Amino acid sequence: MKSHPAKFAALLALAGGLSACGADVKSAAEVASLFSGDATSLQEKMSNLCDDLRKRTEEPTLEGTRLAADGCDGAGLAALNLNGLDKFAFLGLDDGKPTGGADKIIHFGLRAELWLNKSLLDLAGVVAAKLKQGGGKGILDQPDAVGKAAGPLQFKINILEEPAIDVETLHFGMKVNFTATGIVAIDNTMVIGGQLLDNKVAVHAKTTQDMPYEKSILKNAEALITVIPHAGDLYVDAQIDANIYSPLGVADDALKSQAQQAISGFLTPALNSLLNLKEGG
Amino acid sequence: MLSPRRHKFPLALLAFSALSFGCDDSSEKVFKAPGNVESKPNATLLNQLKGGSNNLGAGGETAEAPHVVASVTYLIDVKTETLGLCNGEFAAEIMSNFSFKLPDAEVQCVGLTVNVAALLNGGNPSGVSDSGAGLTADPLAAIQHDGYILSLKELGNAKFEPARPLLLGPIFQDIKKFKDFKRDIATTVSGSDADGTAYNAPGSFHVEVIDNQESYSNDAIKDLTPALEKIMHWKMTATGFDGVPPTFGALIPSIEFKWNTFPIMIPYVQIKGSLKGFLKGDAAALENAAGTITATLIVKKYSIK
Repeated sequence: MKSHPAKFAALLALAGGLSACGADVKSAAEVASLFSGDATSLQEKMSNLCDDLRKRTEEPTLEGTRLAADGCDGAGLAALNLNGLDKFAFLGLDDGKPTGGADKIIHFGLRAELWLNKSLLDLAGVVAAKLKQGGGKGILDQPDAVGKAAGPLQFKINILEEPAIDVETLHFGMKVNFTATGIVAIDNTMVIGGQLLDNKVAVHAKTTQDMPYEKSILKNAEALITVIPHAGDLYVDAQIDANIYSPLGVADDALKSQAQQAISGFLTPALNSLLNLKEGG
Repeated sequence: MLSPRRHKFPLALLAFSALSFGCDDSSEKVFKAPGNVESKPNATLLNQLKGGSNNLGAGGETAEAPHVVASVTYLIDVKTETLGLCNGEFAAEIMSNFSFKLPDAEVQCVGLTVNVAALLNGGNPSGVSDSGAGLTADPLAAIQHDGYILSLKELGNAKFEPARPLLLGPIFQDIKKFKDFKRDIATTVSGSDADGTAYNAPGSFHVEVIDNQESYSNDAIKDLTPALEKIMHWKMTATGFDGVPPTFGALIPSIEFKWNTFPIMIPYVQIKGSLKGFLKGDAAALENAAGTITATLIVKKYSIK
């Protein structure tokens, strides 16, 4: 009877021999891509998604966008963790567009980057629960922080076109009107289009027309929100381009900074409410 | 016949030879590389973030401090029932957070000093200092607004239930909806002043638009560009509040504004009533000024920064 070392040596010899006998095996170099080289970076994923969005003609699309051209660069370089965050912070994306002019417009080009500290499955669970709870309207639950009856501003969202979800193309579209009354008046209608593209989510929203100061302090706005699974987390990149009237007849950087604070104060509870993230999804 | 120990060596040699046939330096690199595990990029731009309040790293920026966006010089006429007319001049500044700064706002008037800053600033004589003292740091956090009137539940030490009206507007976008606007608001003021005197009294405010589409000019600003042609002319009166001085909660008996709606600018303010508490002077002068006083401010110079 052969000893175990002898059996092992025979097995090695057989394995070595097979490689020279025409068996379907790969060399290390041929399988290197499985083990070596750089993983797909977040920036590559972002760039690919933006390329896809530029080629599309239906929403979400970047065709004819006002969003800053460099908004797809630098993915994750200013990303905050949503856990523990009580207020968004923004990168400026001015793209050379002026603030001021005859109408005293304050122009915003902003970008917020976030790690949701959630997996795609967690997010899907949250969205599914919202849909189950209130249909498409459940997605647009109004955040308590801005929807309360007494305060400087009361928001209302009216759904003009019910959310339509195409399960075959994984496309989502709707039209909403959002108004605010109080210390300022806001009245804008937005079309929103979303799409699942290669495991990444893109949502594009833009106002349907420029509104006069008498109706809305927000002249127009456009936003692109992308959600990209990466490194076991979900990366959210939100770009906003907005033009706001300045009632003081002045449109300078300090007013812009203060308005930015207000936007941040609104967006943070809105996103938290939307995704129910503070409650752990 | 070979013993088992003797024939193991050639088999092992053959095996290692076969394996080494497929291993070279390039193959070794494959297995020593870190692999294609995804990683998050280093957040190298956190110091360029603006608008947040935490989690920004050392370089994170917060909002810029309020600054002057417009300067106004007013002429003030003060008329008492007993002392006749006197006048003066003072400067005001409109801040980027919609507050007013009144750096030099006392007017000497026949032995009396009229504290204009206090009159216009809810009984707080200092206005807004460079450090922001005088008004709440975040005025928007303390207010209520129903689309017409800005109201406050607290003003200085005074508490109002329900909130008292402070200003119509002050941001007027759709001026048409203010045509013929009128409203009465009953409320109760309570609290203690700085000397510890307690107050609790009911009263009411009446807010009324006199004209929603006026224009305004005077000799001093006749060449002002743009002309003030979008004036909301409105008035607020306070009645009741028996035993409560007008300095407590800014219970001004009557205040009337001509308010340019875009850009925001206030070319005319008239305040009427018994203004005890807003005057300083010797006992005789104060005695003489005991009746109704009318203080009228009209714009002399105006510039947007």
